[in-house]
Amino acid sequence: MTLEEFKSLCEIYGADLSRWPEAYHQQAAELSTESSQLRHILNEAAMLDALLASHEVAGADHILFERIVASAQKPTSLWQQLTSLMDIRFAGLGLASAMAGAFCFSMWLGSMHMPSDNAESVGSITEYVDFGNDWI
Amino acid sequence: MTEHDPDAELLPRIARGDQSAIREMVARKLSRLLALGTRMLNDRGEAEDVAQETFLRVWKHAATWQSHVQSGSAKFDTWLYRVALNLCYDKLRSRPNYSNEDAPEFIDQTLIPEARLDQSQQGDLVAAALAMLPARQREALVLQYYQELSNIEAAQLMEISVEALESLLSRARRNMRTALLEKGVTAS
Repeated sequence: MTLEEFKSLCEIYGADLSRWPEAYHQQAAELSTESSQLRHILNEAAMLDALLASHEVAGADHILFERIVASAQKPTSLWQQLTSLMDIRFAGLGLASAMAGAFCFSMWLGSMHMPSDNAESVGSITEYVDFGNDWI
Repeated sequence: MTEHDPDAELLPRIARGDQSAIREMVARKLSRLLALGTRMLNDRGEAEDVAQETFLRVWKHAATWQSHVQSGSAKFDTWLYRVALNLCYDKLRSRPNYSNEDAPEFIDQTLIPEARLDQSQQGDLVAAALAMLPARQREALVLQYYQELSNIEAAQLMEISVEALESLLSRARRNMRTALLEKGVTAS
């Protein structure tokens, strides 16, 4: 490895030889111990490395972490969306059937109810139906 | 694909809605994605958006990932970084001062704050200088230096040759040195 090659690799990968392509590790380490000029090149590169390292990024906070985890709960694939939709439709169908059954049952009960002329019965109708003043 | 990929092993479980696998994936990748996005965009909020959107893509593709693996197309990490970088570039392109690898070989130092003695500000100065780099130089430096990818991995991710990557790295470091050291910012 020539001085120029060493300098070039330093400019590309910095002073940390472990970041250099593996093929150069041993040779670069040996050369840098032998030459003060190469050590100087490494030191200059190390200064820039240290500056770059000072740019730190804070890790993720708990809220962001949980928000991302929660985002996985929603069905995402087309198949999942379809099956989910089917689930909703079947659930809706069941609910509609139950309501229809309840309605029929109440109608049947209503047909069993005998007419009554007591006040309570009349009063209960006039609460909900406006017959107008002429009828009172 | 014969190479063992521990991340890819989580994906079938994620596709089945396995909570522990989902949490494990987020724990493994979130900080690195945030670091990548923050350094590429110099904006924490946008970096968080990118991280969230990247994970949405993971959830979306988890069920079909096995077919990608069997076809030998990509290691999961490579795919993940590519998705995140594409999202970063979407945001960068929407900025009026966006520049790519064809941008001039210098940084406008008037845009970088004056060097201060306060050590706590040094990282901010580096962040400002990094943000001034042409995007491809910044991408190369972020992947190789900060994300600690090998030159081969970084080149593969950027879809360029190792020689082209080395050229970008050399220019990036030279520009950073010019912007920082010649402005009087020194390592403390």
